[in-house]
Amino acid sequence: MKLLLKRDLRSVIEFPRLELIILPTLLIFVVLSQIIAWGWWGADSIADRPQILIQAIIDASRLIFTYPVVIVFIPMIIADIITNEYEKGTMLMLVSYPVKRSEILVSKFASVLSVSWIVIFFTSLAGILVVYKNHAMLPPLVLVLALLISTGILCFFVCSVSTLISTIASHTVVAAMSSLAVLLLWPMIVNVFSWQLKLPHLMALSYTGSVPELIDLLTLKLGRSEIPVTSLGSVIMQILLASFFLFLSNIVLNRKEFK
Amino acid sequence: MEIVATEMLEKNFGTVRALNGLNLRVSKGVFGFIGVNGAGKTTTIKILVGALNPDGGKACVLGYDCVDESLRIRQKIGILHEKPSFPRNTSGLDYLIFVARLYGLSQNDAKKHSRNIVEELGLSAFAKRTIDGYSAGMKQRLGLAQALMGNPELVILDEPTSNLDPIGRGELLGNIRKLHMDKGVNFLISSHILPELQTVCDQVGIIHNGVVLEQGKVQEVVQKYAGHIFKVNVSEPKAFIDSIQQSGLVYEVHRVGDIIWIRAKEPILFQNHVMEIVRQKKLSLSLFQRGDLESALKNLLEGNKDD
Repeated sequence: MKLLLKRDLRSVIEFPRLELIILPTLLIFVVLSQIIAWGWWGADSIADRPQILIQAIIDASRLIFTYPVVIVFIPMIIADIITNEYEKGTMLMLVSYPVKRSEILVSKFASVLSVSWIVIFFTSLAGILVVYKNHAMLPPLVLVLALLISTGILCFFVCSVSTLISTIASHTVVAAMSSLAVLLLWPMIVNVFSWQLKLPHLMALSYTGSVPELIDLLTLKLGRSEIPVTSLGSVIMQILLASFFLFLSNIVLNRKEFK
Repeated sequence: MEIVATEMLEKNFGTVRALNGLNLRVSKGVFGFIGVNGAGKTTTIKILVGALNPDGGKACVLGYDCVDESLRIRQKIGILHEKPSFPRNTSGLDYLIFVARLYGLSQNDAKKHSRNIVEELGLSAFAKRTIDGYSAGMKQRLGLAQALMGNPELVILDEPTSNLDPIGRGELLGNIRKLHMDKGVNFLISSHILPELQTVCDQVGIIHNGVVLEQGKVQEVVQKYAGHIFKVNVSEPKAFIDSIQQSGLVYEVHRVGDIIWIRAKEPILFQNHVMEIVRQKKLSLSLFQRGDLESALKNLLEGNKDD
């Protein structure tokens, strides 16, 4: 298992120019949190209201991590290390060695998840440090933790969806595009159903709300008066659904035939 | 003891019936699994290693069931798939160490074992180069090396010579022979390139349309299906063919390029007659060879049996 994890981590790190993803992300995050703070919330009030800057960090995090990094790059990397291995034939070699297929799956999943967590951790840290340097203020620890945990859970969810699709698909591009399509359509479909059926609680099934909502939930002290209806549900649903998708991926890979 | 046994093995791909009740028995030694393209060789091998699930029947390797005990089988065998793929950015030696560790060897033992295999198979010169720069022949040798990393009781090779030039083929077959003689490794080799296979195999199984048509010792199969087949190359083929046809000792004569293929009625009488024609007409005889595995396969598939 350790061996496989090492091999997969290497593949993730060697993913075509991973640094081209990480460095611009870092830069955009830092710049965007500043722009949001000044533009959307008004530069004058920053000194008086630390929450404005905190909110800017949250918004930047949503715009950077939720969409481009998490929803676009994770499916691409997972498709590369699972479906592309089917296509290249290296997966056939791997399953012919004395290794359990579930170990292969867990190692691939864990390697992508851990790299995305590391990327998120250091990028957030960099953003916070830049804010500190410019404004001499640090966001409360609870907010930082909330941001990291919620984005981490989101990564877990996205990794699971992408892993399931990548284990089913036979072509890398199809796997990456299908994962992307599912992840983009998912919240839209949930929103439509929730609105049409007039069931606001159904929104808990949409993963997009979980980042700000978990932050809301964990940072009530920052001025929120009540827990948003869907916050906890959304987070729990994400964890449950992600675990279920991972379980399904394991079944799919165990039954996979290498023609 | 049979190291591989299948019983009424079936596999379908949509409407295509790849295996149609395959009964294969492989004893210890070097077994040639032969058949034309699409006969079902690769499908059978993939079932044996657990990469495919059978739709019906049963398959056992070293006494273990291929569906329920696949992991135990994979611990005891080595496999070289047709067109093997390796991670490109790693060196051959590092890949072998990785494979050895998957077989449960410690880091030090894996290094030692990999170096020994590399040396034995003549891979030392390029073992530290990244696999990306390997030629087809080097990759095939690396493929054989990775199949040997777990000290297997049985090594399955799927079309191991298909990407190789004649020199590479000779080297690979030499390695197989050596490993069998020195270490007692058993081999199951699938191929449709038969002349070389005949030189290393002691048993053979012929598969066609997903069923085993014949299996047994190589000499017995050749005798049974190609004992009356002769390959001849003479200086004046036309004159030779005329004479041989007039003799009434042959069923049929075909000429393919310089080679004349003859199906004789009575092999001994026919051989004597050929020698007489050569002497009388002062022909130069550069090839006079009795049937081989290739002609046996051809004959078997055409439905002819010689005895």
